[in-house]
Order: sequence, then C-alpha cells, then structure tokens
Amino acid sequence: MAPLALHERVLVSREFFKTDHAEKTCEQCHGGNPAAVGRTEAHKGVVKDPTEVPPFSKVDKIVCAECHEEQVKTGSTSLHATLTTFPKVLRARAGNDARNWDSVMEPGRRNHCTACHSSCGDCHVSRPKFAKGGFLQGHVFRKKPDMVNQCMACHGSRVGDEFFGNRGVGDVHLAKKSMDCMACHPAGEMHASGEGLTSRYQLPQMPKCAGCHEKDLGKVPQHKVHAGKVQCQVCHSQEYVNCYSCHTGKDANGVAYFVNQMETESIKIGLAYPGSGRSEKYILVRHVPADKEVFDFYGKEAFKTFDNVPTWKATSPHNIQRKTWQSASCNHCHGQRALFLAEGDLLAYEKAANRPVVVPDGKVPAKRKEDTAKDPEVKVQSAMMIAAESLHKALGKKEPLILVDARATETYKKGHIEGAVPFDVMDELRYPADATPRAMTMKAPEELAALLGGKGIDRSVRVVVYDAGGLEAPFLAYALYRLGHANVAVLDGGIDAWAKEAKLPLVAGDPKPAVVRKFEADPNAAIIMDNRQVVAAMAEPGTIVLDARTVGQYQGLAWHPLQIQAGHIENAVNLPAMGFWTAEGILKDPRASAWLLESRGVTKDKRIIVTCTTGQAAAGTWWALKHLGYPNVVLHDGSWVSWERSPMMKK
Amino acid sequence: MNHQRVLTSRNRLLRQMFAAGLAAGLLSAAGTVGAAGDPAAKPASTCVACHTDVEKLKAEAANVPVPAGSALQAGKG
Repeated sequence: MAPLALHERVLVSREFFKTDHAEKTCEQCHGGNPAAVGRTEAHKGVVKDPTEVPPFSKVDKIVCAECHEEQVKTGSTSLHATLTTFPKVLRARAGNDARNWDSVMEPGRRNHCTACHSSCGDCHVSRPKFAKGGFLQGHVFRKKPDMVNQCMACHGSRVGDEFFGNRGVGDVHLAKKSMDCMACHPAGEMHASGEGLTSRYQLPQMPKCAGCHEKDLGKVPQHKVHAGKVQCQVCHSQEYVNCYSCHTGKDANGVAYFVNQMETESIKIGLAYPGSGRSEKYILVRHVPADKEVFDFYGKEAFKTFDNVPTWKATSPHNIQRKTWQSASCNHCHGQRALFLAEGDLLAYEKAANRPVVVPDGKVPAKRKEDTAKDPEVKVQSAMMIAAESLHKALGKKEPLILVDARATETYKKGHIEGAVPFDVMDELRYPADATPRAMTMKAPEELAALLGGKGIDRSVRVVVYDAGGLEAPFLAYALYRLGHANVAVLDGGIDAWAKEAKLPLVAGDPKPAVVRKFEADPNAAIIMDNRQVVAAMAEPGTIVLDARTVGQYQGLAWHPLQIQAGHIENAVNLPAMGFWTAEGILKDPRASAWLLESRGVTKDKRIIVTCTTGQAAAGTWWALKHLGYPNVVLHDGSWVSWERSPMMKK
Repeated sequence: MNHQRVLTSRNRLLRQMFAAGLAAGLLSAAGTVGAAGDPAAKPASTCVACHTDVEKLKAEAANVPVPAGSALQAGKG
C-alpha cells in the first residue's frame, strides 16, 4: 500500500456532497473556523478525527453517535477502539507497581501500543492513523471497510502476509471464495464491547469455523476423531511467523518506533491454558513479540514480573488451507515432537508462565501404525543450495569459487561476506519498465554476459549467490543457468544464515576493483519464454502456467508498483513462491514442497511455465522446482509487466 | 439486535433527510436556493473551497512541515 501524498490525504471529493454525511457542515464535526482567512487561522481548534473515543479523543462525545448511537455505544469500548487488554497484560508483567506504571509503562504504552488503536473513521472513511491516514474515497463514508487499505494497513505484516500469501501460499477463503476480512469479522464483532476481557479470544462474537463448516464435521472421518479436542487450525494452517523480541524507543528525531529483532516461521501446537479462550485440548500457539526488555528505553527492568503471563499464546493463523502437509498423513503430526511446544522452546525468563502451554512428551500423540500413507520420494539437486557452514569451509580451503552478493549495492557496502562481488539484481539484470513489452525482461545474453564478465564472473568455476531472503539470489542464479553456467548455488538462508545464525563475520566498504573476465555465454533457450511462446505453449497439452505471485496479486487486490492493470493469465494456477521459501530465504522442507505441488496438479510429467509480475518470484519458484528435480520448468520472461504491455495479450 | 439498531438509526436519518429535502424543495420552488443534493448549492465555506481544490491543497501542502517517519518503525501483525 503506497502512502498518499499530503494533499491526497485531505482532498474531499464532490461525491461526498451527495451523501448523507454532507448534511452536516465541516465545522460541525471538525471544529475550526471556516470564516477565517489562511490555513493556520482556519485550522485553529480543528479536530482531525472527531470519531476517536476517549482517552484518545480531544472531544467529549464521538460525533458518529448522533445518528449511530447503538453502534457507538458498544463500538466505543470495542477492542479496536480501546485495546483494552493491553494495559491489563502490561500491569501483570510489571508487577502492578503504580509508580513503575506512571513513569515507565504508561509512556511506553502511549507511544507504542496505542499507536494501533482505531476510531470509527479509521475503518469507515480514511486509512488508519497508524498508516498515516488519508481519505479512502474523498471523505465518502463506507459502510464496509476496505480490506487492503484499512484492515491490512494495520494487520499487514503478519495476518495480511499470511492471508495474501506473501508468506506461505495464502488462505483458501481468499483464494477460492474471494472472501475478505468482513466475511468472517462482521460489524457485530467489530462493534462488540471488549470491556472486561483479558484476551481478545474471549470475545463471544469471535468467528467460529463451525459457523460455516458445521455440515462438514460429520463428513470427514478425521473430524469425528479430532473435533472438540483439536483446534481446527492445528490441521488446517501453514507455518507462520513467531516474533520473539519487540523493542521500542525513539529514534534520533524523537519519532517513536518499535522493531522486532527476531522472527521465525514455524508451527507450534500447545495445550489450552487458563485464559486462552479456547475449549479444545490442543491449540495452535505463537510466540508474541513480548520481550522483558521491550520498554528498556523508558526504564530498565520495568517488567519485574514478566513471567506472570505466557509469551506462547493462542493464535488463529490466517493461512488456512483445506489440505496441509501436517494433515496429509496422521504421522505428519502424530509422533512429531518438533511440532509441539516443548520446554526446550522456552527462553530462560519465560518458563513459568508458559509451563501450562508446553506439551509434555507423554501428551504428544504417538505414531499410528495404521497410517500407511507414504510421502512422495524426493531426490533434490543438492548442489543448487549451500549451507552457510559449508560455504565458510569452502572459502577457508580456498576452493575455486566466485561469491556474488545479489543485494543492492548500498546494502552491500554496509556489510557483506568478504570477497563477494556485488551484482544488484533489481537494478542490473533486466531492462527498465518502459511502456513496451520489453519492460522487465532479462537483458540479452550477450549484454548480460558482458556485464557479468566485467564484474569478474565467468563460467570457469562454481558461483555462489546470496541475498537477504528476497529471491534476488535465485533470480541471478537462474540467469547464470540460462547463460549456460550450471555450476551455481544459492546460499540457503542468505546473509542472515551466515551472520546471525552461523555468527560468521561480515566486512563493510566499497567493492574492490574487479578482475575482468570473459563470460562465454551458451544460452539455454529451453528454460525461457517470451509472451508469444507462452501463448503457443499454453495451447499444447501437458503445459501448466504456474503463477508465483501472492494470492492478492493474482486476484488483482494487491498491485505491484509496475503493474498497469490487475489480472492474471487465463487458466494460470496460482501457487505463491513463498510456499517454497521462507521470508529468510530458506528453502522449505522438500517433502512438503513436493507434496504441495502434487496436490495442485503440478507434476513432473508436465511442462511448467512459471510467471509472476516481473520474473523474480517466478525465478524463485523455478529454482525451487529444479531443486526438487522437476525436469521441464520454463521462466516467463518479463512476466505480467511484459504481458500486459503487449497488445496481443488479453487479461 | 444489531440489524434492528442499524435500521433504527437509518430510519431516523431518513426522516431527517426527508424533512431537510422537503424544506429545501420548498425553498427551491420559491426560488430561494438551489436544488437539494446539488454540490453547487453548498454554502460557501473556506473548508470546502480549499479541500475540494487539488491545486490549492498541493500549494498549501508544500508549506506544511512533514514529520519524518522513523526508519526503524515496523508494522504490526
């Protein structure tokens, strides 16, 4: 979601004056002085958002209540409006120390936690303040919030990413039924009072899967066995983000920030604990970003009783799929100790409160001998990936190897692996996004070969490429393959796997002058197709166009900045690239990836044309499929950006 | 029930609108003001004059100091 320019945020459309809300004058809601001359005088006393509830509001009464009395009555105490559970948890962690509360907790809460509360207007007329506001439709009020510009403006980095498939393969409710947030979270829930709650899961109006799926419960044998004992999401969600260490403070300009310093994608099953709001025995839990140092900026050791409240908490991932890897076979869950929260998963300062959530060995369901389902046999092309430790050893032995940093050059200068050659994939690999079908297509082989040679890269030795988990490395690795260099590997987990996981050193500074070499290109035309070739291939049996974009992009809800129209290639199968890669650039379990492809009908006997918006996600999928041993995978050059600029193409 | 609450509010709003529309219609028929619902019939206001004019807003926006966001700010889940 691109931010709005300042003037765009406050531009009132003529359409607004045709609506009921225009019955009131501006100053009746916002105050100010419309008779004054000049911006400063006219805006004296203006209330930007007269729909906020106290204590966030500067007015005594929410203006909406004049007509929407009933909604405001409960909505003004709703979870969205008040974040009522936050102070309760903070107090419990702070030891209910009043002095500590006033001097440390309250400033921290005010500057950071409450930044996320929302008013009536944040959902019905403008983007939320957290996303810097701005009218959605020229001050026209909308009964139903906008999923992308309102809900996901706040719930974007975890829930939104899961739902859209920016991580994982998205949520079936969106992918198959085009359901938006309000389909499950209607006004009755959004406007419900949150008074007295200590957890949002205690809200009686929370959606329940059985509300729509009750009739399915009796049809599936596994439902009969697990219903009521196991939370639906245990079987029906994918891996998702656990955040471990949120830290807050103010930067050099005095702007409040919070930053999460560690997160991993995983799935953990815990036991329902007191206050979890769940009735099942086994539930999904995630590590909330709480950290006992979260308010250190405001006062050291402020959380005297941090371990009063669990950090592993009930969760409801928004990446539901009907079939998942863990539900593909009983024994993908039964006997899989690593899926269940263990004592060893807990940090030293969070053991007591989490103990009721931990699943002891005796409560991990045993493997079932009756389960005879066999996993697909997967023989990966192991040379295509390299672990940080292996790379370190290879460099230590001075094995012939060219190391390439595929990130932006400015990022390279701040810290890179010693000896790495910079190649800014985003800037150097493709033609610019002009108005022609050549937009974002890969540079011609001879042009690219000259560029690579000029940086000291050739085909004589193995090339290892790394990035920061953004699929730049597999894109460059694919490009080298295309030019005939088959001895290429991607650093699994990217630079974080090297520096943060393996604790190996980085160096900063400008790149050293390159030893220019000649890259003898031997282009492999069988692994790339332009638009015309894709159209021709689509008519042939046994060909699948695999769209590697997110579900949101595929459905036209989320736009890439270079797109000029929404849409996807007709009959393309949507399987986001992040179904195969974690956000840290780690290839996921090959057995699960192979199963995922098979379950979508993407089998090795077919020709797979991978496409996306500009080619990068497609290249990530290309690399993952080749790693899994798919023999016939082709990249759609320039992908959607080139496709939509081509006059012969239709949506 | 929420459903009824919305209807209640809406009915009240409709009644108000009907009354306002009737009054405006009568005034319009009498040649006093423009027809109801016509944007041009809105009372003159500096708020409306500025906030509906892109160029004016752009010019004003150029003089408004914009606080820099922190590069450290992360999104919420």
